[in-house]
Amino acid sequence: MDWHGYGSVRMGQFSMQGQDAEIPEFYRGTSELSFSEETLFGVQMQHDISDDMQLVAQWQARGNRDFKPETKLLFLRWQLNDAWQLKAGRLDIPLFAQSDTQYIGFSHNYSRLPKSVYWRFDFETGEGISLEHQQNWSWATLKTQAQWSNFDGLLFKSAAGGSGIPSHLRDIRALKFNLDTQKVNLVAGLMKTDVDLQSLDQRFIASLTPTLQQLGGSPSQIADFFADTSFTNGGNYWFYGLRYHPGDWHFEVERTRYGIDGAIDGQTSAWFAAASRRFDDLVLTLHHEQISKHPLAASEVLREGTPPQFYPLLPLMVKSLNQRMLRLNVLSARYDLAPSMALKADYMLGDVVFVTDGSSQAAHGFSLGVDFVF
Amino acid sequence: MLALLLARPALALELALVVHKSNPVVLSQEQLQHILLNKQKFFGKGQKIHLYHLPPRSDAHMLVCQRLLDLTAAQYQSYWSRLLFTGNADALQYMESSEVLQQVASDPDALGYVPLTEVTPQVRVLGVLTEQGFQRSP
Repeated sequence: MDWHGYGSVRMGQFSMQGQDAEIPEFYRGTSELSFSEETLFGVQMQHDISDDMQLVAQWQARGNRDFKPETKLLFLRWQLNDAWQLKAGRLDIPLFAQSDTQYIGFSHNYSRLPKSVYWRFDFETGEGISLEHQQNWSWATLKTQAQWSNFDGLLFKSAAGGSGIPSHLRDIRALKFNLDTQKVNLVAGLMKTDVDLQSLDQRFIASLTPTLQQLGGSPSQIADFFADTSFTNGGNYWFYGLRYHPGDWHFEVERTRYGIDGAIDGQTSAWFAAASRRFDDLVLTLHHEQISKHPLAASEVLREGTPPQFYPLLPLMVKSLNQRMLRLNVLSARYDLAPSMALKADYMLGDVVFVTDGSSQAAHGFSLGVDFVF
Repeated sequence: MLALLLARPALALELALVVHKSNPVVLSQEQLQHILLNKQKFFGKGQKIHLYHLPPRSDAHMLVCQRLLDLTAAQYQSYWSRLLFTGNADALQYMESSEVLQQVASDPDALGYVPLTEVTPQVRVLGVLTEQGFQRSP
């Protein structure tokens, strides 16, 4: 049985013209220096059941969740041969190119993977199976991953005051392709799922029904309104990325788009582009990242015949989800103190854009920390 | 002979890539790269490769990382941490050369590297790695 671990100890702050920027899982609730927001520790146990079968368990404690230990991974891995492997249990959902390693700070050059894409969702793992294939050629390696899983847990923790809303993602079907050559890495993936957010729907029904009644809505019009604005529907994600690393340079871009079909908060799109240069043990990275949300107009969500006085409620519903858009330029430095420990610092400058009215406020922040593995 | 010895750089490091005496495997530089990057996990007949490294700060390990993978030792550890913490690989095994020789001599599925000058008859040399690259044994 082998035990290994990783961690990030980081202090920093992110503020919006001196105010709390309220970015979920990112210095939320404070514009002051925080030591816990991005500090985290993980420990992993691997046990060889046989030469080709292994049990893997990983626990993680994150500062922004009061260091409460959570079982992040728990699965059996069966290495059928050099090409095929099968995993079953609690697995990382391949939402984005590096979502399975986003908490392993030591594994990348950023202080955190670009926040706009790596938003740190509450449904990063699911229970299911993953079939993975690897094809080696002399010039490249192609990894293909097909995963089926389910998620039961709390979503919208940031919008619900930390308590979250009981939710289910059923039949999460994910495909990921990764083509790796000596200097180029191409990655793409997609994920489809049936989203069951009836608890969120119920919250809106409970809070908005009196308002809709006051606005003169009939019982059937009110029922239609909630049917039209339901979050229980199909969810779709896709992403693609490219990395190119000639010599000491490293260039990286990734783009993603996702959302729940017909949901009032519409689709979210995010991307980042980064350029890094290594100087022996020092790596400097400059990247631009941004996330945009595209809330649907009332006419796209509500059926014909819906009383027009219901329309202004949609932006309020979107606002209550506490969603923010970000546009950031980030300069990061990584210095390898030892083969398993890196000192990192970054400075962020950009703005936070409000989904409901498109207004924006300048924001800036910095962090300093150390990432390690053992 | 003396001229040849004098012509050789004093600090030139020569590493022997070694396997168990009974292991008949022949590896190209490309296959070695694949093994070091966990892209090839088995020897030909389905035996899972047990890879042994010299200490991460050693010149020998740095030579392997730089010459075969074009990475620093920290970059290699960083790459490997992505494999390890997704449950896709065992942890890197670091040990002194005497222990590498001991492991390789006793484990039919082992692959390691040691300074050429320290090779013992209990292991089989696959080839030699120098600053110039990997040279397969005849």
